[in-house]
Amino acid sequence: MKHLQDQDLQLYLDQQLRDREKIDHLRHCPLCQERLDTYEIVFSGLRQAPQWTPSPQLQDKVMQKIKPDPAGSVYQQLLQVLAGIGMFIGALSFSLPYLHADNYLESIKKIQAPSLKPDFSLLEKFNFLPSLKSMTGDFNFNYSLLIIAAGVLLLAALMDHLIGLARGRTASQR
Amino acid sequence: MNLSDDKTLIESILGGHHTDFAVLIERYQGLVAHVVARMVPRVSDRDDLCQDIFIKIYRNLGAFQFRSKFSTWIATIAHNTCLNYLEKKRVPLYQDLQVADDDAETQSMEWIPSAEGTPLDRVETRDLRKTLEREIEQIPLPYREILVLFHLEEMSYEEIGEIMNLPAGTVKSYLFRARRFLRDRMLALYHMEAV
Repeated sequence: MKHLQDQDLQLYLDQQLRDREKIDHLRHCPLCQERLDTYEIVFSGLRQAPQWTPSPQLQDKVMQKIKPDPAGSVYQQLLQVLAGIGMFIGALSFSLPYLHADNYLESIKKIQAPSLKPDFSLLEKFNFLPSLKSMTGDFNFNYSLLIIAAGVLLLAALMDHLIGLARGRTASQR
Repeated sequence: MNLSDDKTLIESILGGHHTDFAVLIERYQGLVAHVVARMVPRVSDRDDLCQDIFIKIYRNLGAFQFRSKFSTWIATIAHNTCLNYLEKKRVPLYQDLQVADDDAETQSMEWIPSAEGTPLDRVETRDLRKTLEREIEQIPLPYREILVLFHLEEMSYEEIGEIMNLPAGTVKSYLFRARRFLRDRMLALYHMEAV
């Protein structure tokens, strides 16, 4: 039988050589045995890990970088509170005119172009707010001030968020 | 909680127990270090790359679908991170490896068995390992990486192919060529003519 090829010798060492005849030849042929020995030495060296190992501080450094930022968490909560306040104020400012429904409808009528002559009867028919008005009494609030305050708060939050982004910190950064 | 299996460990980390990530680092530090050490020649950059790889693993953990082995997924992230680094550094990535024909050795029949064994048998193991390590560092990148994934991480041709985006047949062929090359180099260095 012909001597084994290199690929067969390597497969034998990988325990993947299945050909019975080749395995028998290898066991009895001194030439193939010797060639196998040279591969065996190389294979044994390949099973040794590279001499380099990472710094012992690797784990600490990674854990430090992925640690949730408590400041970021407070910041996130603050942002959520501000957004909540903003939404509440927005909703209130949107609904306040309805609390003074008569005045509101009057003012709407005034800003319409006279040529269109819109019919507000349907709106008045479905407007349940006058009854709400009677429930709320003479509630009168300077909501313009509220809108301005909400605007200032949201602007401050937005600016802070942008500054945070510019510094490489985001609320979602863990 | 028993964190011995990867699925439980991943679910725990994703569930908010971020300190459990230390267990993951401990478990896969060897694999990441082997890939980085074989792919990146500059020692001073290796630690930073290992850090980057683990941070990427942490940030992308939620995207792991358990469709492949977790070690394959980690090795893929390590491979891609090192590849990006090498591309930035303009390190040549794909060079060929010149090896003799597979049949050349056996056909020539000039290899005469010696009663004293091969010259490699007569060299001190420590010396051999150092020489082999130096020779491995000289061979082109894909061959180095395949050698480490196959021999140290005991991955299959298919798994290595998935990591390196190569067909399994190519991985097998590269592996044989690399080992043949190393064997020939070692014999040449220790003054034995194999052919």
